Amino acid sequence: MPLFRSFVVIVIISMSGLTACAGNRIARSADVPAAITAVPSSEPEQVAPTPSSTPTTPPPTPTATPTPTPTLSLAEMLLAEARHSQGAEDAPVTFIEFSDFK
Amino acid sequence: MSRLRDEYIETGKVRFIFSHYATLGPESTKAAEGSECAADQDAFWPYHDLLFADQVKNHSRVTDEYLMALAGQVGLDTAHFSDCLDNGGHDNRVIELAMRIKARGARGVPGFLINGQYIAGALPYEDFQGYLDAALAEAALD
Repeated sequence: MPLFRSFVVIVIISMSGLTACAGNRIARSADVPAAITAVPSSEPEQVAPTPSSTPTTPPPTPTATPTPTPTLSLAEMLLAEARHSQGAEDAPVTFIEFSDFK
Repeated sequence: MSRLRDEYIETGKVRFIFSHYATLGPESTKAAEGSECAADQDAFWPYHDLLFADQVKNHSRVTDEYLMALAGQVGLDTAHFSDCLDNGGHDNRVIELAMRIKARGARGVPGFLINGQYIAGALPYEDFQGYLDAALAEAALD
């Protein structure tokens, strides 16, 4: 019986100790300033997708064939566009001068 | 130019073509425009000859007044000529032509093509005679 009584006492003492600790903990959390409690939530922030993170699709290949630009030589161009000429058109020699008056 | 005319052009041996290649700044472009305004009055060659001769001899500054004075000497309708210069109707073509000639590899000014053979720079008349005679001889063989 005395053994049982001492067991009960021990249990009571240890339980009161636990209660004191718990109260202490509650008091401490109540002391935390509001600013700190307003920590950003752990929810993942929504970030706008960057171009690198999005799957890239290659630009469409142009299907239309570009019109070839006629490339005339200097002589061909100047002959075709001759505005000022002297002499017979069927002369054996064509002499072209491209010049500046200054 | 007169020897070339007498010896090669008038004799039917050579067809001579002149093209603007205005690359030496605004005065070059202006002079080319002046000659085109003269061409509008069917006077390209007299104006061309007078302008060239004066530039070789006097290196005159090319202004509207200068071009007008030459137009008067050639006997052009100067009111028409003045309107033509003011309108600037030939500007773009002269500038664009110079760009296209340059893009096709012309090196320096003046440049010449004798039956397609490129000759860069001004040469004495005798040198041109040599090129022209060689081209005529080659053409005779074909």
